[in-house]
Amino acid sequence: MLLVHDLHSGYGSGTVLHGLSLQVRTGQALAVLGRNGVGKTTLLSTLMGLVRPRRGSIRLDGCELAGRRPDQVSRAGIALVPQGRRIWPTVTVHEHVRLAVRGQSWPIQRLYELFPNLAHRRHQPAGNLSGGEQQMLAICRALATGPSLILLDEPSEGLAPGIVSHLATAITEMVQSGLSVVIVEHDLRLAYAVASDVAVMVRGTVVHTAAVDEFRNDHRRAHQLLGLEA
Amino acid sequence: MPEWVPVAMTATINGLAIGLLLFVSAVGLTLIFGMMDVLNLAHGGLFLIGAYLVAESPTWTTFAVGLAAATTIGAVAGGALSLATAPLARRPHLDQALLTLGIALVIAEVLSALYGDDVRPANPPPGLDGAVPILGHQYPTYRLAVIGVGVVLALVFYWMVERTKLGALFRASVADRDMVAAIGIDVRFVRVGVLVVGSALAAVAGFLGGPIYNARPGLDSTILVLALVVVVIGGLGSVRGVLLASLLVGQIESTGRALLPSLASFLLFGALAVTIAVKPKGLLR
Ligand SMILES: Nc1ncnc2c1ncn2[C@@H]1O[C@H](COP(=O)(O)OP(=O)(O)OP(=O)(O)O)[C@@H](O)[C@H]1O
Ligand SMILES: [Mg+2]
Repeated sequence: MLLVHDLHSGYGSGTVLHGLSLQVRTGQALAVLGRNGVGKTTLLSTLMGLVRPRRGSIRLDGCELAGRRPDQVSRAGIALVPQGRRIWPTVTVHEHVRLAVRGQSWPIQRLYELFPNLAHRRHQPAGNLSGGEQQMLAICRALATGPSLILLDEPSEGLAPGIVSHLATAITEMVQSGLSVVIVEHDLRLAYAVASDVAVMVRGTVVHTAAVDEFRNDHRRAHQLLGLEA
Repeated sequence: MPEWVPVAMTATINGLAIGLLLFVSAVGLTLIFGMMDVLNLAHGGLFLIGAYLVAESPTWTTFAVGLAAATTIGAVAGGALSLATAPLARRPHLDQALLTLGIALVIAEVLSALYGDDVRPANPPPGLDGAVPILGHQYPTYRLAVIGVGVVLALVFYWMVERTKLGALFRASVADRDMVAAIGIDVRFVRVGVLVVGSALAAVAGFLGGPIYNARPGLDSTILVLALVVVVIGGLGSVRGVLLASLLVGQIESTGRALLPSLASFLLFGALAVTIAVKPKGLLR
């Protein structure tokens, strides 16, 4: 269970998150939606410890993580699939997995079964992979750390539709295996396909939460919060 | 055989020896900068410590002890440097550069207080102080030995960086350090590790290079400038690039000094300028 309370965070002198609160139950998949620049990436970076929060608390299963270094957050059970993938171009697929792998829950064999393409290209430098394969690798690297909560930041960005459906299958499989998921996504079809709940952000706070089935039929609110056509 | 052949030959072999020494000293610099964003200007000072140590090592026993001492002193200095620069880790490059420059000046002053300002000749260990004939020309044995050791060190280092898990960690940290932290690796240890290894290599390079350059005040800045040129030409954080650039700069230095002594440094900075103009991120980027 992730409990975020009154989180304030930002860069330099600017504040991006203004007292954000949020909750993810164990095994729940939550989609975080919001227009460009509302602070979704800042939220995930702060949860991961890459951006230091100024105030507020981040509790994972009762353990306080606000102010911890990213390596401590990772060992507490959170993993990040960052926006733009951020794989290491000169490091091979297999080396990515070997560096990240920890614990028993996702041994290398199981990861390659989930992403057979990566198994075939395991000795390639990650910079040689296609965009879709790089995204799979970023997910693979995150899973290898054996997290209980995985944060996905716009995994479908820049990918062809065929690959997005493949991605949806992989994420659904992760959820079914008991992982908690927070997914930031502009592609609502993907978000609705994998998540059970949505949280909508406006200017650095969560202003609305709802079940996916409820939110996807609430066209007026979706239009108002996200600027979508009804 | 035309008269220029042995001259060119000597210059080429010299260039190879200088290039490999440069590689050993510059590879640490590029890793430290590429991985941890620390521009370590104390690097030349560590080279100089190695050079003074070898000047004190006339026999094989003292040579072996001296080499071990150079490695240890370099490693300890690297650890101290990482402690000293840690509080500045999130500050601009200039702050760190100023701090390491200060440390470099302290090292130079201490050495000059200990050994004076005259050149201290360093001799190769017995047996390596002679010359061997190559194409009828006498060539210093020690330089050939340096080439041999340099090749082995370069190969070992290359293998380590390209083929081992530790090397993968090095490359990952050069590419994106935050993502290394995000998979649960404490990058502070990585930082200490590269500074220790890089500084030890700089001191070892100085020890091996001592009998070629001799120990003298000012050698630290000469080497630092050469190493910085190599790092920029090779591309920050690229081991392959640094190897290529070192060999290139070694040749420019020795051929330049043999043929056009007065223009040698212009050649060097000319090469730097051309590289920056054509490939601003370094040869292999
Ligand atoms: N590294 C940074 N340094 C300074 N400001 C930043 C940085 N990253 C983001 N910002 C600013 O913080 C605000 C929120 O950015 P953030 O990337 O969190 O938004 P987002 O919701 O993820 O947007 P998008 O949908 O475009 O990915 C923006 O105004 C952005 O300009
Ligand atoms: Mg974003």
